[in-house]
Amino acid sequence: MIDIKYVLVVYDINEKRVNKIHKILKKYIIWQQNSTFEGYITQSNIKKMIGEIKRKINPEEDNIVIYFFNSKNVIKKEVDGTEKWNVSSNIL
Amino acid sequence: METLYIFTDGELKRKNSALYLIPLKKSEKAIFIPLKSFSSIMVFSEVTMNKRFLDLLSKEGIPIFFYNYYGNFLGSFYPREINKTGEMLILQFNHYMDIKRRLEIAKSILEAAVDNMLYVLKNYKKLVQREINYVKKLKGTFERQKNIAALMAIEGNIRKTYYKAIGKIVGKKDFEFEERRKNPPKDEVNALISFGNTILYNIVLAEIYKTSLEPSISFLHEPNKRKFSLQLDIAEIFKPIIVDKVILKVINSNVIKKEDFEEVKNGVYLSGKGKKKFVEEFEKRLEHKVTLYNDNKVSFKTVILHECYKLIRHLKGEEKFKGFRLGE
Repeated sequence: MIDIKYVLVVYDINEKRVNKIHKILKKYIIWQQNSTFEGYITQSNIKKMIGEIKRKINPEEDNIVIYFFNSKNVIKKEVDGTEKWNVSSNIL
Repeated sequence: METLYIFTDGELKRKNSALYLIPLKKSEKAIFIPLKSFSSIMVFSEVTMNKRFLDLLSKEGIPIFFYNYYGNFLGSFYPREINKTGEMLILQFNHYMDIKRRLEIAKSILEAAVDNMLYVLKNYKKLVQREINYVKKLKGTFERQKNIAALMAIEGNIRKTYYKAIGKIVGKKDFEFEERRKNPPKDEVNALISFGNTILYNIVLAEIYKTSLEPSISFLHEPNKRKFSLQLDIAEIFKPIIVDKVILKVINSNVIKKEDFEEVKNGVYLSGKGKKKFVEEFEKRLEHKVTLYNDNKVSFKTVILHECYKLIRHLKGEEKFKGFRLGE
Protein backbone atom coordinates (compact mmCIF):
# COMPACT_ATOMS: atom_id res chain seq x y z
CA MET A 1 0.00 0.00 0.00
CA ILE A 2 1.16 3.51 -0.64
CA ASP A 3 2.36 5.51 2.28
CA ILE A 4 -0.52 7.80 3.24
CA LYS A 5 0.40 11.12 4.66
CA TYR A 6 -2.41 13.51 3.87
CA VAL A 7 -6.17 13.08 3.98
CA LEU A 8 -9.25 15.05 3.00
CA VAL A 9 -12.47 14.06 4.73
CA VAL A 10 -15.97 15.20 3.76
CA TYR A 11 -19.16 13.91 5.30
CA ASP A 12 -22.92 13.98 5.21
CA ILE A 13 -24.28 12.77 8.49
CA ASN A 14 -27.61 12.86 10.29
CA GLU A 15 -27.87 15.81 12.67
CA LYS A 16 -28.16 13.50 15.66
CA ARG A 17 -24.71 12.11 15.13
CA VAL A 18 -22.91 14.90 13.28
CA ASN A 19 -21.44 16.32 16.46
CA LYS A 20 -19.95 13.02 17.52
CA ILE A 21 -18.16 12.59 14.22
CA HIS A 22 -17.01 16.18 14.32
CA LYS A 23 -15.45 15.63 17.73
CA ILE A 24 -13.59 12.51 16.61
CA LEU A 25 -12.18 14.15 13.50
CA LYS A 26 -11.12 17.21 15.45
CA LYS A 27 -8.68 15.12 17.46
CA TYR A 28 -6.80 13.98 14.37
CA ILE A 29 -6.96 16.55 11.59
CA ILE A 30 -7.77 20.15 10.94
CA TRP A 31 -11.26 21.53 10.63
CA GLN A 32 -11.50 23.48 7.39
CA GLN A 33 -15.21 23.99 6.77
CA ASN A 34 -18.44 22.84 8.34
CA SER A 35 -18.18 19.28 7.06
CA THR A 36 -14.67 19.24 5.70
CA PHE A 37 -11.46 18.22 7.41
CA GLU A 38 -7.97 17.92 6.05
CA GLY A 39 -4.44 17.49 7.25
CA TYR A 40 -1.34 15.41 7.78
CA ILE A 41 -1.90 12.16 9.57
CA THR A 42 0.13 9.04 10.36
CA GLN A 43 -0.75 5.53 9.22
CA SER A 44 -1.63 4.34 12.70
CA ASN A 45 -3.77 7.38 13.37
CA ILE A 46 -5.77 6.81 10.16
CA LYS A 47 -6.66 3.34 11.38
CA LYS A 48 -7.62 4.60 14.83
CA MET A 49 -9.69 7.43 13.35
CA ILE A 50 -11.59 5.20 10.94
CA GLY A 51 -12.23 2.71 13.72
CA GLU A 52 -13.67 5.38 15.98
CA ILE A 53 -15.87 6.74 13.19
CA LYS A 54 -17.19 3.31 12.23
CA ARG A 55 -18.40 2.71 15.75
CA LYS A 56 -20.46 5.90 15.71
CA ILE A 57 -22.13 6.09 12.28
CA ASN A 58 -25.31 4.53 11.06
CA PRO A 59 -24.42 3.00 7.66
CA GLU A 60 -27.94 3.39 6.34
CA GLU A 61 -28.23 7.12 6.76
CA ASP A 62 -24.70 8.51 6.92
CA ASN A 63 -22.07 8.95 4.30
CA ILE A 64 -18.44 9.79 4.82
CA VAL A 65 -15.78 10.10 2.14
CA ILE A 66 -12.05 10.05 2.77
CA TYR A 67 -9.56 11.01 0.07
CA PHE A 68 -6.07 9.68 0.65
CA PHE A 69 -2.92 11.32 -0.67
CA ASN A 70 0.62 10.10 -0.29
CA SER A 71 1.98 13.61 -0.49
CA LYS A 72 0.58 17.08 -0.13
CA ASN A 73 2.37 18.05 -3.32
CA VAL A 74 -0.24 16.36 -5.50
CA ILE A 75 -2.97 18.71 -4.33
CA LYS A 76 -3.39 22.15 -5.75
CA LYS A 77 -5.56 24.18 -3.48
CA GLU A 78 -7.19 27.52 -4.08
CA VAL A 79 -8.94 29.43 -1.35
CA ASP A 80 -11.26 32.39 -1.78
CA GLY A 81 -12.36 34.34 1.26
CA THR A 82 -10.75 33.74 4.62
CA GLU A 83 -9.18 30.43 5.42
CA LYS A 84 -9.51 29.12 8.96
CA TRP A 85 -5.97 27.93 9.23
CA ASN A 86 -3.22 27.48 6.71
CA VAL A 87 -2.87 23.73 7.11
CA SER A 88 0.66 23.48 5.84
CA SER A 89 2.02 25.56 8.70
CA ASN A 90 2.63 24.43 12.24
CA ILE A 91 3.75 27.87 13.35
CA LEU A 92 0.91 29.92 14.76
CA MET B 1 4.43 18.45 11.19
CA GLU B 2 5.19 17.29 14.64
CA THR B 3 6.17 20.25 16.73
CA LEU B 4 3.68 23.05 17.23
CA TYR B 5 5.13 26.53 17.68
CA ILE B 6 2.83 29.14 19.16
CA PHE B 7 3.61 32.79 18.55
CA THR B 8 0.03 34.05 18.98
CA ASP B 9 -1.00 35.65 22.27
CA GLY B 10 -4.18 34.13 23.62
CA GLU B 11 -5.82 31.38 25.53
CA LEU B 12 -5.14 27.64 25.23
CA LYS B 13 -8.17 25.55 26.08
CA ARG B 14 -9.30 22.00 25.93
CA LYS B 15 -12.40 21.54 23.89
CA ASN B 16 -13.69 18.11 22.79
CA SER B 17 -10.28 16.46 23.18
CA ALA B 18 -8.70 18.98 20.86
CA LEU B 19 -6.65 22.07 21.58
CA TYR B 20 -8.62 25.27 21.10
CA LEU B 21 -6.61 28.43 20.61
CA ILE B 22 -8.43 31.71 21.17
CA PRO B 23 -6.25 34.62 20.02
CA LEU B 24 -6.20 37.76 22.14
CA LYS B 25 -6.70 39.91 19.06
CA LYS B 26 -10.38 40.04 18.19
CA SER B 27 -9.61 40.17 14.48
CA GLU B 28 -8.12 36.67 14.48
CA LYS B 29 -10.31 33.59 14.48
CA ALA B 30 -10.22 30.91 17.14
CA ILE B 31 -9.05 27.56 15.80
CA PHE B 32 -9.04 23.90 16.70
CA ILE B 33 -5.68 22.19 16.65
CA PRO B 34 -5.66 18.38 16.43
CA LEU B 35 -3.10 17.17 18.94
CA LYS B 36 -2.75 13.61 17.66
CA SER B 37 -0.21 14.67 15.06
CA PHE B 38 2.02 16.62 17.43
CA SER B 39 4.77 15.38 19.70
CA SER B 40 5.61 18.63 21.48
CA ILE B 41 4.47 22.24 21.81
CA MET B 42 6.72 25.29 22.06
CA VAL B 43 5.18 28.47 23.40
CA PHE B 44 6.83 31.82 22.67
CA SER B 45 3.85 34.11 23.27
CA GLU B 46 1.76 35.15 26.26
CA VAL B 47 -0.81 32.46 26.85
CA THR B 48 -3.22 31.50 29.59
CA MET B 49 -4.29 27.94 30.23
CA ASN B 50 -5.99 25.79 32.78
CA LYS B 51 -5.51 22.39 34.35
CA ARG B 52 -8.03 20.75 32.05
CA PHE B 53 -5.72 21.64 29.18
CA LEU B 54 -2.71 20.11 30.96
CA ASP B 55 -4.85 17.05 31.55
CA LEU B 56 -5.29 16.73 27.79
CA LEU B 57 -1.53 17.04 27.19
CA SER B 58 -0.90 14.42 29.82
CA LYS B 59 -3.38 12.08 28.17
CA GLU B 60 -1.81 12.54 24.77
CA GLY B 61 1.72 12.46 26.20
CA ILE B 62 2.82 15.79 24.81
CA PRO B 63 5.39 17.91 26.68
CA ILE B 64 4.95 21.68 26.42
CA PHE B 65 7.93 24.05 26.59
CA PHE B 66 7.82 27.73 27.50
CA TYR B 67 10.20 30.46 26.38
CA ASN B 68 10.50 34.01 27.64
CA TYR B 69 10.51 37.21 25.61
CA TYR B 70 14.15 36.74 24.59
CA GLY B 71 13.66 33.13 23.57
CA ASN B 72 15.38 31.72 26.65
CA PHE B 73 13.97 28.51 27.99
CA LEU B 74 11.73 29.02 31.02
CA GLY B 75 10.56 25.55 31.85
CA SER B 76 8.28 22.82 30.71
CA PHE B 77 5.31 20.73 31.58
CA TYR B 78 6.60 17.18 31.32
CA PRO B 79 3.55 14.92 31.54
CA ARG B 80 3.24 11.87 33.74
CA GLU B 81 5.82 9.38 32.52
CA ILE B 82 4.23 6.33 31.00
CA ASN B 83 7.01 4.48 29.25
CA LYS B 84 9.63 4.58 31.98
CA THR B 85 10.82 1.34 33.50
CA GLY B 86 12.96 0.65 36.53
CA GLU B 87 15.07 -1.68 34.43
CA MET B 88 16.23 1.08 32.13
CA LEU B 89 17.00 3.33 35.09
CA ILE B 90 19.28 0.69 36.58
CA LEU B 91 21.01 0.07 33.24
CA GLN B 92 21.65 3.77 32.78
CA PHE B 93 22.89 4.08 36.35
CA ASN B 94 25.29 1.15 35.93
CA HIS B 95 26.73 2.60 32.75
CA TYR B 96 27.12 5.96 34.42
CA MET B 97 28.94 4.61 37.48
CA ASP B 98 31.37 2.40 35.59
CA ILE B 99 33.88 4.89 34.17
CA LYS B 100 34.99 2.50 31.42
CA ARG B 101 31.46 1.99 30.14
CA ARG B 102 30.64 5.67 30.56
CA LEU B 103 33.71 6.70 28.54
CA GLU B 104 32.73 4.32 25.75
CA ILE B 105 29.38 6.04 25.27
CA ALA B 106 30.80 9.53 25.74
CA LYS B 107 33.52 8.91 23.14
CA SER B 108 31.16 7.57 20.50
CA ILE B 109 28.86 10.57 21.01
CA LEU B 110 31.75 13.02 20.64
CA GLU B 111 33.23 11.27 17.62
CA ALA B 112 29.89 11.45 15.81
CA ALA B 113 29.55 15.12 16.81
CA VAL B 114 33.01 15.96 15.45
CA ASP B 115 32.39 14.06 12.21
CA ASN B 116 29.22 16.06 11.75
CA MET B 117 31.14 19.29 12.39
CA LEU B 118 33.59 18.28 9.68
CA TYR B 119 30.63 17.58 7.40
CA VAL B 120 29.43 21.16 7.86
CA LEU B 121 32.90 22.62 7.22
CA LYS B 122 33.47 20.40 4.18
CA ASN B 123 31.49 22.75 1.94
CA TYR B 124 33.83 25.63 2.75
CA LYS B 125 37.09 23.73 2.34
CA LYS B 126 39.02 26.50 0.66
CA LEU B 127 38.23 29.00 3.37
CA VAL B 128 38.81 26.88 6.46
CA GLN B 129 41.26 24.15 5.48
CA ARG B 130 43.55 24.95 8.41
CA GLU B 131 40.73 24.60 10.96
CA ILE B 132 39.62 21.32 9.39
CA ASN B 133 43.10 19.85 9.74
CA TYR B 134 43.38 20.96 13.36
CA VAL B 135 39.97 19.51 14.26
CA LYS B 136 40.96 16.22 12.63
CA LYS B 137 44.19 16.16 14.62
CA LEU B 138 42.39 16.80 17.91
CA LYS B 139 39.80 14.15 17.10
CA GLY B 140 42.57 11.53 17.00
CA THR B 141 43.37 12.13 20.67
CA PHE B 142 39.90 11.12 21.94
CA GLU B 143 40.85 7.46 21.97
CA ARG B 144 43.66 7.92 24.52
CA GLN B 145 41.62 9.81 27.15
CA LYS B 146 40.99 8.15 30.48
CA ASN B 147 38.41 10.48 32.03
CA ILE B 148 35.43 12.63 31.15
CA ALA B 149 37.08 15.94 32.09
CA ALA B 150 39.94 15.38 29.63
CA LEU B 151 37.45 14.39 26.96
CA MET B 152 35.45 17.57 27.55
CA ALA B 153 38.61 19.69 27.46
CA ILE B 154 39.47 18.38 23.98
CA GLU B 155 35.88 18.86 22.92
CA GLY B 156 36.17 22.46 24.12
CA ASN B 157 39.25 23.00 21.96
CA ILE B 158 37.59 21.43 18.94
CA ARG B 159 34.53 23.57 19.39
CA LYS B 160 36.67 26.70 19.67
CA THR B 161 38.41 25.89 16.37
CA TYR B 162 35.11 24.97 14.78
CA TYR B 163 33.49 28.23 15.82
CA LYS B 164 36.49 30.12 14.50
CA ALA B 165 35.83 28.47 11.15
CA ILE B 166 32.12 29.36 11.35
CA GLY B 167 33.19 32.92 12.11
CA LYS B 168 35.24 33.01 8.91
CA ILE B 169 32.28 31.69 6.91
CA VAL B 170 29.71 34.16 8.24
CA GLY B 171 32.27 36.96 8.13
CA LYS B 172 31.71 37.08 4.38
CA LYS B 173 28.13 38.17 5.00
CA ASP B 174 29.08 40.94 7.40
CA PHE B 175 28.34 39.04 10.58
CA GLU B 176 30.99 39.04 13.24
CA PHE B 177 31.62 35.97 15.29
CA GLU B 178 34.74 35.03 17.19
CA GLU B 179 33.88 32.90 20.14
CA ARG B 180 30.92 31.46 21.96
CA ARG B 181 29.53 33.82 24.61
CA LYS B 182 26.20 33.27 26.26
CA ASN B 183 24.04 34.78 29.01
CA PRO B 184 23.41 37.10 27.23
CA PRO B 185 24.69 36.20 23.73
CA LYS B 186 27.40 38.67 22.70
CA ASP B 187 26.60 39.07 19.01
CA GLU B 188 24.07 38.02 16.38
CA VAL B 189 25.58 34.63 15.62
CA ASN B 190 25.83 33.84 19.33
CA ALA B 191 22.16 34.75 19.67
CA LEU B 192 21.26 32.35 16.85
CA ILE B 193 23.34 29.53 18.33
CA SER B 194 21.79 29.99 21.78
CA PHE B 195 18.27 30.06 20.43
CA GLY B 196 18.80 27.12 18.07
CA ASN B 197 20.46 24.95 20.69
CA THR B 198 17.69 25.63 23.20
CA ILE B 199 15.01 24.50 20.77
CA LEU B 200 17.02 21.45 19.72
CA TYR B 201 17.48 20.38 23.37
CA ASN B 202 13.73 20.43 23.88
CA ILE B 203 12.98 18.61 20.65
CA VAL B 204 15.41 15.89 21.72
CA LEU B 205 13.79 15.80 25.17
CA ALA B 206 10.38 15.32 23.54
CA GLU B 207 11.78 12.34 21.60
CA ILE B 208 13.38 10.88 24.75
CA TYR B 209 9.96 11.13 26.40
CA LYS B 210 8.58 8.63 23.89
CA THR B 211 11.19 6.02 24.84
CA SER B 212 11.98 4.30 28.12
CA LEU B 213 15.19 6.31 28.64
CA GLU B 214 15.40 8.29 31.87
CA PRO B 215 16.32 11.85 30.86
CA SER B 216 18.08 12.77 34.10
CA ILE B 217 21.04 10.37 33.79
CA SER B 218 23.56 11.36 31.15
CA PHE B 219 26.97 10.08 30.16
CA LEU B 220 28.95 12.80 28.45
CA HIS B 221 27.59 15.74 30.41
CA GLU B 222 27.54 15.68 34.19
CA PRO B 223 24.00 15.07 35.36
CA ASN B 224 24.31 17.38 38.34
CA LYS B 225 23.85 20.71 36.57
CA ARG B 226 20.17 20.48 35.68
CA LYS B 227 17.28 18.13 36.04
CA PHE B 228 17.28 16.67 32.56
CA SER B 229 20.68 16.22 30.94
CA LEU B 230 20.51 13.20 28.64
CA GLN B 231 19.07 15.49 25.97
CA LEU B 232 22.37 17.43 25.97
CA ASP B 233 24.28 14.24 25.14
CA ILE B 234 22.11 13.27 22.21
CA ALA B 235 21.76 16.85 20.97
CA GLU B 236 25.57 17.06 20.77
CA ILE B 237 25.48 14.79 17.71
CA PHE B 238 22.86 16.88 15.94
CA LYS B 239 23.93 20.43 16.77
CA PRO B 240 26.28 20.86 13.78
CA ILE B 241 24.02 19.29 11.16
CA ILE B 242 20.79 20.91 12.38
CA VAL B 243 21.39 24.13 14.30
CA ASP B 244 24.61 25.29 12.62
CA LYS B 245 23.38 24.34 9.16
CA VAL B 246 20.22 26.40 9.72
CA ILE B 247 22.29 29.34 10.96
CA LEU B 248 24.54 29.25 7.90
CA LYS B 249 21.47 29.02 5.69
CA VAL B 250 19.57 31.94 7.22
CA ILE B 251 22.67 34.11 7.06
CA ASN B 252 23.93 33.07 3.62
CA SER B 253 20.53 33.40 1.96
CA ASN B 254 19.69 36.64 3.77
CA VAL B 255 16.59 35.21 5.46
CA ILE B 256 17.66 36.82 8.71
CA LYS B 257 19.23 40.23 8.53
CA LYS B 258 20.73 42.53 11.10
CA GLU B 259 17.39 44.21 11.77
CA ASP B 260 15.94 40.94 13.04
CA PHE B 261 17.89 41.34 16.27
CA GLU B 262 17.30 43.38 19.38
CA GLU B 263 20.06 44.81 21.49
CA VAL B 264 19.99 44.52 25.25
CA LYS B 265 22.56 45.43 27.85
CA ASN B 266 25.81 43.61 26.93
CA GLY B 267 24.14 41.45 24.38
CA VAL B 268 21.90 40.71 21.42
CA TYR B 269 18.72 38.67 21.11
CA LEU B 270 16.51 37.66 18.20
CA SER B 271 13.43 39.82 17.80
CA GLY B 272 9.93 38.33 17.69
CA LYS B 273 9.92 38.38 13.90
CA GLY B 274 13.43 36.98 13.75
CA LYS B 275 12.49 34.11 16.03
CA LYS B 276 9.57 33.21 13.80
CA LYS B 277 11.73 33.23 10.67
CA PHE B 278 14.38 31.12 12.37
CA VAL B 279 11.85 28.59 13.64
CA GLU B 280 10.41 28.25 10.14
CA GLU B 281 13.80 27.32 8.70
CA PHE B 282 14.55 25.14 11.70
CA GLU B 283 11.38 23.14 11.24
CA LYS B 284 12.14 22.74 7.52
CA ARG B 285 15.53 21.34 8.47
CA LEU B 286 14.01 18.92 11.00
CA GLU B 287 11.67 17.60 8.32
CA HIS B 288 14.59 17.23 5.92
CA LYS B 289 14.75 13.62 4.78
CA VAL B 290 17.91 11.59 5.14
CA THR B 291 18.65 7.97 4.34
CA LEU B 292 18.76 5.60 7.24
CA TYR B 293 19.37 1.86 6.95
CA ASN B 294 18.09 0.03 3.86
CA ASP B 295 17.54 3.24 1.94
CA ASN B 296 14.68 4.23 4.19
CA LYS B 297 14.10 7.96 3.96
CA VAL B 298 13.20 9.52 7.27
CA SER B 299 13.17 13.01 8.74
CA PHE B 300 15.81 14.25 11.16
CA LYS B 301 13.23 14.05 13.93
CA THR B 302 12.90 10.31 13.34
CA VAL B 303 16.68 10.01 13.25
CA ILE B 304 16.79 11.56 16.73
CA LEU B 305 14.27 9.00 17.97
CA HIS B 306 16.37 6.24 16.37
CA GLU B 307 19.39 7.55 18.22
CA CYS B 308 17.51 7.06 21.51
CA TYR B 309 16.66 3.49 20.54
CA LYS B 310 20.27 2.85 19.56
CA LEU B 311 21.34 4.03 22.99
CA ILE B 312 18.81 1.69 24.60
CA ARG B 313 20.17 -1.22 22.58
CA HIS B 314 23.68 -0.32 23.70
CA LEU B 315 22.63 -0.18 27.35
CA LYS B 316 21.00 -3.57 27.03
CA GLY B 317 24.21 -4.92 25.50
CA GLU B 318 22.62 -5.81 22.19
CA GLU B 319 24.54 -3.57 19.84
CA LYS B 320 27.35 -1.02 20.24
CA PHE B 321 26.23 2.59 20.06
CA LYS B 322 27.53 4.45 17.04
CA GLY B 323 26.37 8.02 16.66
CA PHE B 324 24.57 9.17 13.52
CA ARG B 325 26.78 10.72 10.86
CA LEU B 326 25.40 12.69 7.97
CA GLY B 327 26.61 11.78 4.51
CA GLU B 328 27.85 8.33 5.38
